[in-house]
Amino acid sequence: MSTQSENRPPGRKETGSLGSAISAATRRIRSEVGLAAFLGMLMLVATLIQPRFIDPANLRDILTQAAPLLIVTMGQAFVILVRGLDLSVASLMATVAVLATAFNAQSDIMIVPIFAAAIAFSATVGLINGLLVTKRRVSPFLATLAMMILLQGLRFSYTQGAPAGTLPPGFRWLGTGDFAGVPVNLMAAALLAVVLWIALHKGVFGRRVFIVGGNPRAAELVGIKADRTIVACYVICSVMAGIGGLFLVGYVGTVDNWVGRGYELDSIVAAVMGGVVLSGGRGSIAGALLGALILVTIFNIIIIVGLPVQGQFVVKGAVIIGAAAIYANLANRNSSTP
Amino acid sequence: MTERPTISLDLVEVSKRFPGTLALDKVNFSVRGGEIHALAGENGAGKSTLVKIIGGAVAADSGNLSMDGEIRHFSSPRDARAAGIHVIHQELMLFPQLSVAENVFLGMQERLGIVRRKTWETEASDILESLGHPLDPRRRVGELSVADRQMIEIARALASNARVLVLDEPSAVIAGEEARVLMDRLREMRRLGVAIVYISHRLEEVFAIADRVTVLKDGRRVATRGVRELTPDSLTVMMVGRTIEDVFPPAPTRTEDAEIVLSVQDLSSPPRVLDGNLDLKAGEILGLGGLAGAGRSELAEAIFGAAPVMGGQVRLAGEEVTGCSPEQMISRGVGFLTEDRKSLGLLMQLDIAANMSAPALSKFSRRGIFARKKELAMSENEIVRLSIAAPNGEAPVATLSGGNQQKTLFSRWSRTAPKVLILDEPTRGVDVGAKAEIYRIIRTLSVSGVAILLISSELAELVGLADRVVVMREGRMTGSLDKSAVSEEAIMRLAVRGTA
Amino acid sequence: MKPDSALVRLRDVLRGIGVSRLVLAFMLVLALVAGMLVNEHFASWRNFANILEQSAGFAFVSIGQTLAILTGGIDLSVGAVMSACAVFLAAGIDGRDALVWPITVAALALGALIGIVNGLLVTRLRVHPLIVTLGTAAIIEGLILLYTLKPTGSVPIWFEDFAWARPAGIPVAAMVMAAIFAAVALFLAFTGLGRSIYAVGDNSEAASLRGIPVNQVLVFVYGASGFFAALAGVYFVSRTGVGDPRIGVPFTLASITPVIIGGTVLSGGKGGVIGTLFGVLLLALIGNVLNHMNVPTSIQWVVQGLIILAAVSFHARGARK
Repeated sequence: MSTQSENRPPGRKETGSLGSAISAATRRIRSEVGLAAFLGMLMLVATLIQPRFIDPANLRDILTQAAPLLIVTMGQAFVILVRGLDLSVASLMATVAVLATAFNAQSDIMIVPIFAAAIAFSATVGLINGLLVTKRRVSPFLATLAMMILLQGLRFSYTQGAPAGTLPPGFRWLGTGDFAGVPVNLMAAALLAVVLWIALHKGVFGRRVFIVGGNPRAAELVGIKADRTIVACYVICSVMAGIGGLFLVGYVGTVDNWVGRGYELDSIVAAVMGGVVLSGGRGSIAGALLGALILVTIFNIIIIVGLPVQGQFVVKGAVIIGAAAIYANLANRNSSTP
Repeated sequence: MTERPTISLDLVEVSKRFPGTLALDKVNFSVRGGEIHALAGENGAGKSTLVKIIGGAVAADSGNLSMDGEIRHFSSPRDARAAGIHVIHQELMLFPQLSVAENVFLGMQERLGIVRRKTWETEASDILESLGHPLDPRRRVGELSVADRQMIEIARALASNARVLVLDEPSAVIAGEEARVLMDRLREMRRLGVAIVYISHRLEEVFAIADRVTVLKDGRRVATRGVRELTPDSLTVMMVGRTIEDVFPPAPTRTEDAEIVLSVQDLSSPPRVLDGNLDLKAGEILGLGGLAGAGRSELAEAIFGAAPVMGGQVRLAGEEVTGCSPEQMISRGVGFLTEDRKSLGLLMQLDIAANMSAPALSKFSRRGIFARKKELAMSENEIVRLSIAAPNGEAPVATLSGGNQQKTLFSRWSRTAPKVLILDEPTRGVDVGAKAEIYRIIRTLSVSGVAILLISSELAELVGLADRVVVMREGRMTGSLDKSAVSEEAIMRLAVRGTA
Repeated sequence: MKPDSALVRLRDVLRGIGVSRLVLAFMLVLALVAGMLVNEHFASWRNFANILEQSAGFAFVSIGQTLAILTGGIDLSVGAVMSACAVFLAAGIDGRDALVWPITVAALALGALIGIVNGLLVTRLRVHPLIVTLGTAAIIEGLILLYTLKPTGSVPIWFEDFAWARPAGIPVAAMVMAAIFAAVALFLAFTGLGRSIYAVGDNSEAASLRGIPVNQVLVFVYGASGFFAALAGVYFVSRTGVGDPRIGVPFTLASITPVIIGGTVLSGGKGGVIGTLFGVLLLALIGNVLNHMNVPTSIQWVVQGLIILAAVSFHARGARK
């Protein structure tokens, strides 16, 4: 009989699988450690150029500035994990900001209903995106592109050019203030990060996300409703964009029709740089956060060096291509065995 | 077709190392015009690497490849093709959106210049006719059957005046009559002086068609022999290094009055399934035979709720479950091990443990939080129970061999405590040794009372394992064979002609 | 095996047109009727000439985008390339007659060159074109804005004839457009390179195994896309007389819409430039009708979003069966 055939294959075969198992496990840790190390290196470079960079006050400013992007990037990561892409986040951020002014609120009490309305609106947008992608099989790129244009049109037809309403004064505190010595918006980002980390890395939902992102058809065949998981990811992404939009308005202080402009690209760049792979099924919350922090640090270095703000575009473009190339090569090396 | 000068292709002491493995170790191989030379060996023996080197897709680390005595270096598939070497891959490499004629000629002549469509169309149609397989050259390939597509590949080889034709497991995607037609064409090409390299798992094919056989094992050449010097047994010994006696574990004596757990009546799921009928009893292994494209996998999908059902009934222990989702079928005790392991079965980016637990996530969930430790412990047990060659449950499933991947999938479904298990080609692409183990797993499951629907294109598997065999042809059942009536010939008759 | 060839041809023509194109043609007619109902001047030759002139730049960009999408890719740098070439052209000529032709050729070459770089990045780095072109777009936009934030340069008045002249009442732009669409359509249908573009989009693995030079085909396609974006940039300089660093911004995403409406699928291998031409004309007509109705831009955006969704939903459903 042939009992031993598969369970003791010729030596090198087994060392091959053992070796690659180990390297896969270490790579999983290493990618995030590597990102953190890269972030540290960037901070070191910034400090060498401008010692004031490392001042707690400056770091606080940077983090306050980064918080909305951190929030949006985490949401974007969920959509990318299920093989999607959300180009509508920036348009949604601005639309939610306009929505907030529609309350024309003077009192901070109104912050609660404003958040509730913003989240409900964002969730609806996410639901529509998700349904277009799953039920209508529209490519995520086009579905969210159309949503981006739609929201833009709705926003402008409502504002007729410039938003008129006001925001409760407490928004400023949400966007720039401190609580117990920690920026409020950073705390919010951290809280959301914990919730999303548990959902993605400790929860059953997260397991479904990875299964569906890795192989939607196989997911269906093990009884996972892939469509439902995908829609949930779009809803999460839009809700994060909505919340991020409100914090960004709080940070900027004024509402115009283009609040959040560029965040769709920045959030994708940050997520990809953080190791969330565009083909789906690979990535982490920690990676997404590190990616966003790296991006913000790079922007700050540009300013420190004295380059004009437009230089940010150049660096952003180079960074996204470089990061994607590095990850693509890692993946290739991983799968180059016969 | 013009007369071709005879050709010789020789590989001398070819070696190729991939990270972690020596895929080929000083292998010698040669093929002459007018000869069919079979390349046999288990999975991982190095056959596909050798094919890639011949086809120019991979460069050897050392050793020489020569044609007609002249040493050649192919740095791309194009180089090899220019030299007259044509490889037909297992997954057919065609363009579904383009026409038959374009599929035959594209990439061959007038590479970037003006395309002579009319000429292509008449020539393609002539070649296909000469192959005894006429097709409208203007049709989109996406609309054609697998057998048609394979003929297009062969037509392509003819059109390019291939002097060396390499076929990588061609019969893996076709069966029965279509496979026989293919063999006839190959014999015809041999007569025309083409040198043919034929790679196959199936011993009967090797004996039916080849003149010589080279056996590879673990990257080394075991032997090259004339087919007449060999018997199936002696060839098996060379391939696996041992004889396989009683591959199929004996069936226990069974009682006839087991209850029917799965009953399928008049099930239709067009276009492939028109009228599916079967009854499956607890503890029974019911074989489902038929040619490729007969609708077997599609019937399984329709039963499992993974394909739309247009009519008919599926009953599970008397309860009607027609049109239930896979999720509902799983919760009612049905499992489905799919045919295409890599694209429909495994979760390639995840580890072994996650692959095993996938249909039973709720069992590892406490208020939405996933019990990873419990999952890992489960996977360790399963690795031991099914003797899966893996260090632990955290090993990525992509690093396992075909047999171990398949065992992981068996673990996945046996852990859901199924009442009914549908197995679609459970031993495809698995080497001979692992096959025997999988047969034993199947038998153990059935003895424990699981009703098994076994879809297989390997007749020996149906005969050796099934208690009863039903056969499908063009979407309908053509007959049912009891254990006493089952034979490879009987199944084939029902599959091809539809009558016993 | 040889049925009556006239019938075969008719069947082929119908199959080639496809249901989605018939729907598209129907929509075009609908837009025309709507236009005539809305405005009495709509059905004038002058208005049609206007529409053709307005859509020419848009049409040029969409041709390149069609090629990129046919290979299963996408080019998100077309807007940036347009802006870059427009600025380069206007600033380079800066009103000097003698430099018009050399600089125009150089601007077109610059576009093709940027496209070739895109193609090389896609093929060498093995990064998805979406990411590569997003990245190069950001780089180019940053560089342009570092150079100038305001419209710059100038061209001789006669250079503006390209955009405005109407010999015998027919706009030059329309003639150029017709010639280019016809040439690209013939190229796609009857050359090995053209067919290879389809083959790469349909099954790139098969294409490369067959010895189709997949990488060169992709580099060519992105180069062509860059060239056509540059042509659009040149056209806009001719129309406006200056090099506006932001002229291309709306074109990146807008160039995708007519391609999709025209039946080219995002996954590649299916479609063509004739569909794109119809898509361009349909969108231009709708825009024209809405303008005649005094519909504000914001509502036009909503309409545009809905059109994209309607088109992709329709094609997605057709593809599923």
